[in-house]
Amino acid sequence: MSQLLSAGYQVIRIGEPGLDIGVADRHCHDRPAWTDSEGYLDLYHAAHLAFAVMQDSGPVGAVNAKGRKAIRLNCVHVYANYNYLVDPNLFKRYRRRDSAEFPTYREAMAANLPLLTTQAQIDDAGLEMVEHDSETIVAAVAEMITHLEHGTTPSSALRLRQRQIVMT
Amino acid sequence: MRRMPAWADRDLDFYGIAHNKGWVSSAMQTVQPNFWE
Repeated sequence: MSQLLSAGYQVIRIGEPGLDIGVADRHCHDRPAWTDSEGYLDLYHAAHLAFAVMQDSGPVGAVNAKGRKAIRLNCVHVYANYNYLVDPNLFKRYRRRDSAEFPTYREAMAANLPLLTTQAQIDDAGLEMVEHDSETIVAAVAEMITHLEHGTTPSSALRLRQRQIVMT
Repeated sequence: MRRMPAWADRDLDFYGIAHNKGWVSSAMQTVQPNFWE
C-alpha cells in the first residue's frame, strides 16, 4: 500500500472486515469498514479503479467485466481462462516440506501440481503452499504501474516460455 | 451435435491457446530466479 500511495494512487481495500492493515493515510480507504454501504460499492470501484490486486478467484471477474486489469495472485499453473486474460498472473508457490526449494514451473507441471485442489492433496504430496511475499507483490505492482502509465507490454518471452513448457 | 463453437476448433490444442493472450508477470522471478528454467 505504501508503494501505491507513494506513486500517487489511492488505495481502497476490499474483503474481510476488521483487519488492521497498519496504514493510516487519507488516500487509503478501508471499504469493509463502511458498514452503511453495500457490496454494490465494490462493483462501482471495480469499474473505476486503475487496477486491482486480488486473489485469483471469483470476484476478480467483476474487475475484468468492467474492463479493468487485476494482478492475480496464486493462480493455478495452468487453467482454462489463462489464454483469455490480459492480467498479470502470479502462479501459486509450493515448497517441499523437506526442502527449502520451490519447484520450477516445469517441475510443478510435471508433478501435476495444478491438480491439487485440497489441503489433504497438498499434504499428501509433501508440499506446503506459500503466500507471495511483499517483495514479489511490490515487483508485480511496479510492473503494472509501468504498463498503465507508459504503455509497456508484457514480456512475450516469458509467455512463450510458459507455453513451451506446457506444450512439451 | 457440435460440443464446441465453430471458432473453438482452430488449433486449440491447449485451452484456447489460439487467443494468444495470457500475461505472465515477471515478478515470479523476483524471489525465485529459476522459476522458468
